[in-house]
Amino acid sequence: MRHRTFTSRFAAARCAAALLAAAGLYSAYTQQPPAEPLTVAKVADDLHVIVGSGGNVGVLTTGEGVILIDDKFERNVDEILAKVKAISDKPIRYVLNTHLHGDHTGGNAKLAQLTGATLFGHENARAYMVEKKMPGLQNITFQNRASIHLGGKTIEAHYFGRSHTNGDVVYYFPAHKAAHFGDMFAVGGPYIDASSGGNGRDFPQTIGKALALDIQTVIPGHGGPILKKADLATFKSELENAEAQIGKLVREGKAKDQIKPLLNTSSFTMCCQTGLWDRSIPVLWDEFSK
Amino acid sequence: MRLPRQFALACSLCALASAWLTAQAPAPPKPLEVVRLSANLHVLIDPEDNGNVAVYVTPEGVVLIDAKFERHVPQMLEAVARITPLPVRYLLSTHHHDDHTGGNAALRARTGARILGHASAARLMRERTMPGPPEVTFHHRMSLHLGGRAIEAYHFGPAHTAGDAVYLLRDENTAHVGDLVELVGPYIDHKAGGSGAHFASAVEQLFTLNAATWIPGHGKPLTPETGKLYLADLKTAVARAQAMRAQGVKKEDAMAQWNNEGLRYCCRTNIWKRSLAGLWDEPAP
Ligand SMILES: [Zn+2]
Ligand SMILES: [Zn+2]
Repeated sequence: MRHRTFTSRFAAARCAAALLAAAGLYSAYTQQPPAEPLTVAKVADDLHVIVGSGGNVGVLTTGEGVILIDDKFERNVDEILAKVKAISDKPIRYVLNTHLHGDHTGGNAKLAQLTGATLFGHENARAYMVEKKMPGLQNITFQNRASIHLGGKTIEAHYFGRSHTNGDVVYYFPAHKAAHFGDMFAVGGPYIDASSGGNGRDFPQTIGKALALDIQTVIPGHGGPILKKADLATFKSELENAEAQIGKLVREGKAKDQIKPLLNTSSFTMCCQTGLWDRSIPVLWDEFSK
Repeated sequence: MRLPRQFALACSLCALASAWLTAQAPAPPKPLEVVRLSANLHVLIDPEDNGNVAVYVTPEGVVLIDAKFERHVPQMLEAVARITPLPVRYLLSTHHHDDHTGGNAALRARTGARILGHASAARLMRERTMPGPPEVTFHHRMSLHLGGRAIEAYHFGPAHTAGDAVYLLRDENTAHVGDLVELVGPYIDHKAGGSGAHFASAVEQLFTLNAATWIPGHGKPLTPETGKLYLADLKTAVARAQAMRAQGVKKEDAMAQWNNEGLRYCCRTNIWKRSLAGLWDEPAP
């Protein structure tokens, strides 16, 4: 049972990774993969996750409106709106981004236009979106900590440092002891996007700071969608293990393209399995070679 | 500023007493004075000198900073409508005091504006069941982007309250500094986490914004040159209070024994003197 669960999680992540590999990473972040019907997973009566085609979308419903966390690609917006409508008849008031990538922010512009929602994210994420001329720029950005209060409910936005990019936000739902981690936790990954300020050597300690939150339920950026704090702790320790192996191989003088077959990650259950991870190995080689 | 009501009538400023009386028996508010700082930036000042409201017009809508009392909301919206047909999209609060946030809930209800402010200001408003606490709150730095314009929000530590926010309008070279700069004060609201020991440091950080114009919470806009004179007097006054305390002056006697000598830009009025007892309760410097 448990084994089967892991297998299916990785199957989804591997599928996404294969798409990314096929399309080339940059274009995968800026263009759109083939349509894939979206499904909804329930964390609680007022907290759901929309899964499929791009990053996991968190949906918090309140008496005064709905808050989304991430919004996949632009082509998914109509279906996201339909899924949200089936959960709540209230308007979408805020869209919070975990980071800049187009599979998490692609719906921003259309959603803001259709619903009047305020877009929110980290200041470093917005700066990269400006630089890369991406649409759907956030209206509100923060530095280290912010909160959104709506209809008596609260979402805390935390910035813990560099990981997947240098603008990854953890959105914490204190009442649910749950948090959306974006691609700081992509099952089978991580991908370290050095071109957007991502950093592999900071990655585990950034997760470590997030693990200090009082959480039980963890929503990853891809995969899952409803995992436990222990799964994230496993992801972190497996990443540390893999990084230690890479560091040792670099010190032994191994070339960048020699590393992958020498890594022993076959027993890992959360980390370091997908094509996204394969693309992180040279990034880590560069970091350990400095 | 916001004063405990038992002090209001004794206050040396008639404006404050009249604000308090007006709050007890609502009368139609007197007309607002509209001060034009630029084509896109105006300040709404009312004759009772409740919190100054900045009206910032961007191509995609209006941002207000502070909201006076609820009774001022109709005339504030009339003043905005005379400046621009665009809707009010955001309301930023400099701190929780009701002469700055009293209009929050009514403005939100009438315009749908999102309210932003510091986390401690929102916490104080919720604890005290004040209407219209900020929806989006920050701890150290936040930015609002609208219509190609940016407003940066900063928190420089506890000073007037624990939740003071300063808003920099980068394109206007102007900052709304709230009650961090109050030439007839300042008031240190110790019950709301204000700090005399840290106040001057917070004011010092205003200069790092490099704004040419400061909109204070009360009174006319001023320049950082005046701000420097205010800061110098503030440092003198805090040091003087701390010396009195070190010399054994009792907290109860601090107000009566306060010496205004040499102070021209702050710390002369009862607003300041009422902060003294709280200064005595702060940790020794
Ligand atoms: Zn990503
Ligand atoms: Zn005040």
